[in-house]
Amino acid sequence: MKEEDYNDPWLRFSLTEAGKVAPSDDLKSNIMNQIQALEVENNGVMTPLPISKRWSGSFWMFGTAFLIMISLVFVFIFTEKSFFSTVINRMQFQMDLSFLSHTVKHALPELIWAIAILTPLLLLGILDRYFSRKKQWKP
Amino acid sequence: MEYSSEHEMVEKAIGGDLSAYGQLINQHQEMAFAIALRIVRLREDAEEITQDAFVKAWKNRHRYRGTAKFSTWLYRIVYNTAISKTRKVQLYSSEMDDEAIGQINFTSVQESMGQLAETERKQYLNEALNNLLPDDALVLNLFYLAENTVEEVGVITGWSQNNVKVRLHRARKRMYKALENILSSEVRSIL
Repeated sequence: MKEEDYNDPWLRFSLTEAGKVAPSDDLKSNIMNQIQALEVENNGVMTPLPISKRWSGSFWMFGTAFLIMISLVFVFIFTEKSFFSTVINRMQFQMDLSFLSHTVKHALPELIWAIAILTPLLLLGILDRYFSRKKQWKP
Repeated sequence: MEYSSEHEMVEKAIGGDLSAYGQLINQHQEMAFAIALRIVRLREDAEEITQDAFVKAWKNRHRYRGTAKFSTWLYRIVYNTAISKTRKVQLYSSEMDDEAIGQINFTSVQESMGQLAETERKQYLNEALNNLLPDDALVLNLFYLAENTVEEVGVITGWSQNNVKVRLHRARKRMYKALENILSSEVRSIL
C-alpha cells in the first residue's frame, strides 16, 4: 500500500485543529489520590526504599531464625528419645488418643517436632514483615 | 521539579517518584482520554478507563523496559483497559466494504470544508469522528492526533503494520464519507 493511501496531510492538519478532547480538570488529582491510597495500603511508603535496605531486615530475621532452627536440630538429636517420648507417654496417660490411627500416633513425635520448628519460624516471619513495614514508613 | 528530558522523567517515575509520574500524567492524560473516548464513546466511562490505566501503569511500572516510547506503552494499557471494559472488540471489527463506501472526491470535501468558518469546521470534524466505528476513530486518533508511527500504532493495538495501514486507509475513506454526508445534509437543510 502506498503511503498516500493512508497518510493524509489535510486530515492530519484538520484533526489536530479540531479533534482534541479534554478530560475533566480533576482527572489528574483523582489518579494521584488513588495511587497515594494504593501506596499507603500496600507498603506504607510513598517512595520505595532501595533493595539493599529493604532486604536488611529480612536478612537478620531469617539469619536468626536459621540459627534457632540449627540449635533445635541439635537439641532434637540429643533429646528426641527421652523428651518427646516422655511427652507422648504423658499425653497418652492424660488424653484419650484412641481416635488417632496407629500411623499418626507413631508419627506424633515428628509432628510435635515440626510444629516446634515451624511456629517460631512463622512468628519470626510475621515479626519480620511487621518490622520491615515500620522501617519503610516515610510519610 | 523540572526534568531535563522526558527520558529522565520516565526513569524517575519508574523508580517510584510520584511527582515525576504526576508530570507524565499531565503530558499524556489528554491523549489517553481521547483513545479511551474513541473506544467507549461516553465521557464518564472514558475518564474511568483513563484513571484505571494510569493506576495500572503505576502498579506495573517495573515492567516498562524502555524498548518503546513510554507513551506507546501507556497507550497500549489504555487501549487494553478500554477493550476489556467494553468487551465489544469483535463488534468493532465489522468490516464495511470499500464498495459500500463508494467513490469519494477527496479534493471536493477538502475544498468544501475549507470554505467553512473555523467553528463550523471543527464541529463537522468532531461529528464525523463520532459517526465512525470506534476502531476507525481510534486509529485516526493514534496516527494523526497522537502522531504515532504505523509501527507504534501496531504496538499499541496489537495489529500488524499492514493491518494498521489498511485500517488507516479505510478509516480515512470513511471519515471523508462521513464529512461528505454531513456537508450534503447541511446543503439540503439550507435549500
